[in-house]
Amino acid sequence: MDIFWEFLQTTGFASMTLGNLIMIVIGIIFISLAIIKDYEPLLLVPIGMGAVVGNIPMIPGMSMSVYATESWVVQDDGSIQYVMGSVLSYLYAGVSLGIYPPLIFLGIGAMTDFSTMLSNPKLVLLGAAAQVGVFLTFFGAIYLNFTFAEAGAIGIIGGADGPTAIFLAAQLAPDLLGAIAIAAYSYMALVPVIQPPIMRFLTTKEERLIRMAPPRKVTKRERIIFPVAAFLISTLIAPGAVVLLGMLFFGNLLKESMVTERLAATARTAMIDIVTILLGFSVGASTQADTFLTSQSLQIFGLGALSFAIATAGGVLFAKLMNLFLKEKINPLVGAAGVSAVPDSARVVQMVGQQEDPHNFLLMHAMAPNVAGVVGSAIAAGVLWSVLT
Amino acid sequence: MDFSPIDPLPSLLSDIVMATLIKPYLAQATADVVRQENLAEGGTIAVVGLLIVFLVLIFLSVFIATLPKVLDLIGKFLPESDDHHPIAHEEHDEDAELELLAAIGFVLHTEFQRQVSTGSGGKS
Repeated sequence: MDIFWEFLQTTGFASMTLGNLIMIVIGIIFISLAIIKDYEPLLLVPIGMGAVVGNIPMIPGMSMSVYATESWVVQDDGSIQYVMGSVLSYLYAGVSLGIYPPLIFLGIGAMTDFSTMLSNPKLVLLGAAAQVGVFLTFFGAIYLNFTFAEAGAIGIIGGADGPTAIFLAAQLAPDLLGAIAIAAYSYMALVPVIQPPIMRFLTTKEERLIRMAPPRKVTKRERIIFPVAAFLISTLIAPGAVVLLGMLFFGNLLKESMVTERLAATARTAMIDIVTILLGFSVGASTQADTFLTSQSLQIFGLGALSFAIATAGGVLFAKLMNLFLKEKINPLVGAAGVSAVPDSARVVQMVGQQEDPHNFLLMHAMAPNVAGVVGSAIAAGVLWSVLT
Repeated sequence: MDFSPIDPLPSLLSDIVMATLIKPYLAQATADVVRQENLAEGGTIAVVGLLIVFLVLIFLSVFIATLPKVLDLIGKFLPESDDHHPIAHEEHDEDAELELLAAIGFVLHTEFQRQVSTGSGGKS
């Protein structure tokens, strides 16, 4: 009987806390949203399952959590013993050391077509305007008494780029990594919910009906030269972005050079899928109730939502500003795609535009600020990293 | 000379005043100053950071705008040859095929819509 009682004490039921239970429910909600509503399933299923796994109470003395890292322990007799970390901690090392995000950027580069951006260079500026969300939220976080480093990591949520947010949080505020990653991916999944009301509020019906000229054909030479030149221009001005942009443009060069098709195909399929599984699952597993369910996390979620909203508004308003000086007007809805979140925000632009005029095709135009937003958010991350460390 | 011992009462009184009134006030004042300094510094970082992002993307935009002109100029001396990589040809063929399919789809869609709107569409 005693053995049975001892066994019961080691079960998850015995040491389950209310926090663990809440986090398991949140994980199940993520999985449900992904399956039922189709919200970012490639991310929310691994994160959701990771959250469920990470919140099963651990058996005392057994190293199983992502935070059970390897260590050297001094014994009573003076000898030093090496203690291995948990399996999850090794998977999580790719997050905490900032290894996964650049690999994901390599895959994104290998699947991104910059042609629409190359055909309409003025739309690049919308990708910069949307970064106002990052920097205003950074300021807001300082106002709420977060440290500078924490504020930088929180602000980048407005870049609407999960890997960038994880990369910067791992460098600047590892303690907040779980909350920032969950906030960034949750809001990316909620782009179709958050953006449309802001876009409609800030534009008139006439503006939403503006049709844009079809993009010109871009030559092969342009597409090959662009990744190398863009990398040099970006990183010579903002060297902090060298890791993310280096991998992004390297991936794009693999695609556009046409002589490394096998590498490009691997980067944009098998490799990015493997890294997404490892990143999503280990980030989910890092959301253990005792470290995740804090008032700071709630503040981060609030600031993240604000950041997204400001970024969307920034892009739309800047497009309206540009229209004051342009002969060929821009549909201001495409400004909302400057928040990155490729390609969801571009799809939202297409959807909102077609609600006004079913024959207006804005998707191609929206892809230009969308990919410029990826570059813009990586530069913003690089700037914050270099200034705040 | 007459040295009188220090009266302990005023010393105690000053300690109490210091602990209850002056120290909290000083701590609050210091915190306020630090906060103001942090906000000012944070504001500067935010503005400069946004300017750097704009600067990089303006440079990129200018580069992209001038690239076709530069390539046109270079093209006069080094014309862009037909690509020797089979993948490139495949992609061109694929593009043409996709365009053809899109055109056929568009014509079919327009025709079906016309039939539906005029009510002349038969069962198919």
